[in-house]
Amino acid sequence: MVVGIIVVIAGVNAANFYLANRVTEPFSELGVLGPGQTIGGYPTTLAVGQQFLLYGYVGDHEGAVDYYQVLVKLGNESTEVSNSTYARAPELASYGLVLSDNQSSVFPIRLSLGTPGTNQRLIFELWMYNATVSQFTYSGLWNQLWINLTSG
Amino acid sequence: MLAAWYRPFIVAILLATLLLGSAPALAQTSGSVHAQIDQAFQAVHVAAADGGNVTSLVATLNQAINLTERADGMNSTNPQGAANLYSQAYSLASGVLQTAPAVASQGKAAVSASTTEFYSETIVLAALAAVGYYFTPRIFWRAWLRAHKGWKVKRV
Repeated sequence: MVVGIIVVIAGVNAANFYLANRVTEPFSELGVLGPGQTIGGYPTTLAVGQQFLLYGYVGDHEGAVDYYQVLVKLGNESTEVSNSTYARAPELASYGLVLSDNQSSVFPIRLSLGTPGTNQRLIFELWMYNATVSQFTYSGLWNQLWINLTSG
Repeated sequence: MLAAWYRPFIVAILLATLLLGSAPALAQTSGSVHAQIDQAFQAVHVAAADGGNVTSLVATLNQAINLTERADGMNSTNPQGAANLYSQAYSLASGVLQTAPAVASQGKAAVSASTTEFYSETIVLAALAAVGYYFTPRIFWRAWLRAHKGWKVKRV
């Protein structure tokens, strides 16, 4: 009985020691929030040169400190982007940030667009710094906003 | 009279000091600052992997990144302002790079202490289990005998 209790305590102690800080499924998060820092209120129609505000959200659950870069690109209906392919489109802005494990950050994204047109896509991609190759690599996470740009 | 004679030299020395002092700041380019930030990040990554508390290092590194992005944005319109920001960012990243090894050492020491504590606890628990296994029956039967010493066996 006494030995059983001690064995159970030792088992819990060992499990706590070996499983602490162990990440079974590492992942990162990318989100785009509206001007009120909520999921909603996104602009759909804008005038050329009109400044607008969005917020980016990045979360780190990789079990390590990571250096992220959020790239904002301007594409259109034919721009290809997927979990494995990043968009070949002009880059409008980039935002870098370093996050510890289980840390997240919300940051403002202020933009204005220059060329009028319908069905333009604001593409947000999350890139991560790869220390092995000493450069940022595409994480496969992306988001988009469809926008119509009027001339004024 | 003597002070007036020295004045141009003092001004020249002050100017030279200012120029020499600001030369490294002007020398920082976007590329060199980004490279320094990359190196600082790698040092922080290692420090965190070693168990160090990198909260303040991460905050400082983010400051450096923000300054660099601001400088990149104004580089074409205000090169002097951008150079100033690059210089600040470079200093912050250099500070992180210098501090990270100490944080890594502290982390290693903390992990080592935690491992020692775990093995000590395990040894104590194993000793308690052995003592319990050896002495519990004796203690139990002694207590049983003491509790039942007044009992009389009756034939039924």
